[in-house]
Amino acid sequence: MRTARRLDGRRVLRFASGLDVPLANLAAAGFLLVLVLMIMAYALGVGATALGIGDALRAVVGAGIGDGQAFALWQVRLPHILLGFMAGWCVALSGAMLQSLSQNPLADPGLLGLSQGAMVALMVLLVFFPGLPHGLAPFVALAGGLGVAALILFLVGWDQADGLAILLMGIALETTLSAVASLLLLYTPPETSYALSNWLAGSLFGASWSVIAGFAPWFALSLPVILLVGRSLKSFDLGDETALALGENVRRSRPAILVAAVLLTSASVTAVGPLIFLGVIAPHIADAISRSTGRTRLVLSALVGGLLVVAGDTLTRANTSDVALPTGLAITIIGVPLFIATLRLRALRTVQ
Amino acid sequence: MRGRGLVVLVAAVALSAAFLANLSLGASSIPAGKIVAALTQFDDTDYDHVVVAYQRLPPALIAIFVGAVMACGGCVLQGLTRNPLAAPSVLGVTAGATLFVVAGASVFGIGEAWQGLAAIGGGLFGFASTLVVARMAGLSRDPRGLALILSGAVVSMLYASIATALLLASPSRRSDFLGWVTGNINHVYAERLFDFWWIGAAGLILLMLLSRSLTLIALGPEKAASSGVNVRLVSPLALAAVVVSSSAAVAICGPIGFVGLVVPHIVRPFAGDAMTVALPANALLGASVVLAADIVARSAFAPYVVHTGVIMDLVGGLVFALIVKRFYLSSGPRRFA
Amino acid sequence: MRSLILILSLFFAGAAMAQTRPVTDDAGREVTIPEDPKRIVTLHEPLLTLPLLELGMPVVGSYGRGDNGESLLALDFIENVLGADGEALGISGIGAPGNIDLERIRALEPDLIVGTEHDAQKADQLSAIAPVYLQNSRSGVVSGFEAEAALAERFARTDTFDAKKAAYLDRVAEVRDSLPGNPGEETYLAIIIYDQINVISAMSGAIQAIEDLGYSKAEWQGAGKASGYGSGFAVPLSSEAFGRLDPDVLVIMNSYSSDERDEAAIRARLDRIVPGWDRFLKPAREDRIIFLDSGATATPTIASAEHTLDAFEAWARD
Repeated sequence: MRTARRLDGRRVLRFASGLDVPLANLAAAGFLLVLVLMIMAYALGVGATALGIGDALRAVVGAGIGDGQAFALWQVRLPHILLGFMAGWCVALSGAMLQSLSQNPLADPGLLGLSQGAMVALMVLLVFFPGLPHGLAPFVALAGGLGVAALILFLVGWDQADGLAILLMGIALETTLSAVASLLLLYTPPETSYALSNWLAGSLFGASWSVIAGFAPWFALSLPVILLVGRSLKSFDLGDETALALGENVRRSRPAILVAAVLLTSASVTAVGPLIFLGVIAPHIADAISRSTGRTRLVLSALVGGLLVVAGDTLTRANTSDVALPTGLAITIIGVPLFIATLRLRALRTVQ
Repeated sequence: MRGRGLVVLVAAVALSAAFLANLSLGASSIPAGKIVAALTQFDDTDYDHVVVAYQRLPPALIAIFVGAVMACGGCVLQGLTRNPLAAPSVLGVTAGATLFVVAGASVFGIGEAWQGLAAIGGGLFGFASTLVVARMAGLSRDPRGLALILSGAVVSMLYASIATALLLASPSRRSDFLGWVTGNINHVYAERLFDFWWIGAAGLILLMLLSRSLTLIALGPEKAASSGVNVRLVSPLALAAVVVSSSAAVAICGPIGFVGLVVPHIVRPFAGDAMTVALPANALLGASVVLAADIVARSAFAPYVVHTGVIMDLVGGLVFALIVKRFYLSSGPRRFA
Repeated sequence: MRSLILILSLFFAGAAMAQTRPVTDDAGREVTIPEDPKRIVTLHEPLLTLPLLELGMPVVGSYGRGDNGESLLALDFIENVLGADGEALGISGIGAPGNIDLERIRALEPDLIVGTEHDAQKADQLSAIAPVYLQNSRSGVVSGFEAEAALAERFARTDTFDAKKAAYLDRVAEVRDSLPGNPGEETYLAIIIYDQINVISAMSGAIQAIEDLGYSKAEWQGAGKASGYGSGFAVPLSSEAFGRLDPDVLVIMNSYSSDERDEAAIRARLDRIVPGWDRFLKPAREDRIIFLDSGATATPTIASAEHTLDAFEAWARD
């Protein structure tokens, strides 16, 4: 392992296996990691119960605190922070994958209809089979997401090399599925529809240790996904023709990447509802911090995603006014200005 | 040209049929003769006449207004952007207008009178956001000009979700807007039609006046410029007319999108490229389509009542898929005209 | 992790300290509830808080209220139905509407949380704070005072309930005698107006009172069908069909989320939805309409039923 200068002039860390990681990317990952930890620590101290950051941190390492404070820490804040981070991580990761796949910077699990597929499947479960056990929910959501992915590939054609076509077909399905969701809402009594729409707006209310335990395998799955998919994505980043020339089997890797994106999206939709727009924003912010490709880009995007959701949830809890601030909206409030700033930044860079 | 004129005639017949059907179908069906009587010799002691005049005519007029405005908007946008997927609802106009109306009512507590203005501001804002995102996202190397469509979809998704979240945050407002936000044609909104109809009408008249130049621009801006069209003036003017008039439609009955996407594609094979024919045909057919969608929405899921916007979204999504299949999945990019 | 287990065991220990007994709630869950709850948090104001307050139960937190007890919903039911002040009763809030705050609930130190059957999904979360008892409260499942009677029995307040009900039944007899016709042979239809007209299909306090007076529900076109955005409590009625209704007594109220719910406001709203209704609707021409304030009469409580009786009495007097 040593540092070296690559052909493009970037300083890289070269591993014995021949893997190059630009130093700037390493620095960015370190910076993001520190930022994530800082926000998490801050988030521990935010909420209705008086519990300072210091108390919280001491309690995490084992010191004693009051009952109410212990409840706030162990039953509310920690589960929110952990689940929020994992869900944000997964959604951002799948957004980054889809953007490379479709070679389009605006791809998003929501835009492709994957979130809506999972959502509509869950609604069908809730509306028509309310008696079925809740444990089924993740699998139903998964089936919905996979169904949409399969439909997209079927409609577009398996060997269609055009990422844009996939995206456009996704938008078409997304529109149709949203209308179906509205129709389904009709068949639910108003109280259920209100609860449903709360969940549709993205909410961490249900965060608990059991939900986290259920989500953990999916989160763990994301690590091999990054390792396996990252490599082929690098070729996609270069464009399909190049990917083919590099020996990438688009016919095989495209469905595989799509399935991975669906797995991650459906799991997070089940846990916290669809986090609209996060899949677009996070990779852009990651790019603004440090340009990267392949695995590094996936990791950076995922970190930003987790960061944004934890920040959004903290804002929701910090909001003490009498008007509710849904977490989905809070994430948007934080993310969109950053997104616009990054776009502006890039425009300036291009000019120079 | 005579064949082209026939299209307008057929569309006019379709509109009259849809109009009469819309007026006669309801909780009880009222025979056509009585409807004509109610419109020509109104008798305020006959309950059927009162129902037709006060409860069925206003929603039918709203449907006609929305259909005409949205379809013409879609036709013009598809011509100007030279893209078959363009429409007010695709390019962020309806979502922006929806967001501003909802935000105005729930955050700033504005009354009905200002909602029209808010909708127009929102429509302009939504369209501008789409343009900005498209430019900034650096999609300029995209050969088929799809940047607009993609950023429009992203912007619409974002604004629609913010509007929903705002409604969730104020439960009492939610019941007021739940119907409106999914595109509800209802005679209770008749007052808004009387308030805002002139905006849409002015927009349509402006588009008709510009129709010759628009035809030329759709065929190619350079060609149009060489035939003496002031492209730099006409394009923005037409865009503004489309955005403002479709925002006015949103202010009346909420987002009933996708008429603008669907109808121009039905009209184009018959009316050709000439806007002078295409615009009236689109207006008439768009109105008929929304009238028909309104009938379906009221009766298809009885006893449930679905809102017209939902039906149009369902149809629109499917047509969107068809257009993608036809224009973007054939071998090699096909010229769009 | 070890401290987590410690904390959890502490919770269970805390719950076991007071006098408790195991019961099965309406969602079929086994819950250990206190014999005599001292601090109750409810998840629905009109459906749960009001019946519990009427039974004299100690409610300390109610959904839709601010930290000081002021109502955050469109309507303060405690004030409108019971004429009481939530703030003075010491009822606090549990977070902004739509955003229940677990830490706020925990801070109220409840020994019981009561929800409706629709809160089943929140029950797991809330059980970490206090036992969660789910009471069937929604229309179609229970009607009239049934939910209140069930709660009275569950928490040993049947005496209070029976006394209030007996007083109410005396009042029913008194009002019945003041009415012009014979309610036993007459029909009624109850209407609530949102942005469309709806027939009330469920048994709220108002309907309980009307049926206790002896009126029977009129047949109407589309009866018995559940429907969209307002299903359960009310069923949409075509505004065209409204003008043709002719029950012996027509009861009309405005949506409880509207600011004004008196007769003038209801008339203005009908003028928009059914122009000319007062010329065509037979009950309107013959003064057979009773205007109710939904904010006072729509809850499933005895107090709401009594407000309804007052309105009938006032109508008969005119």
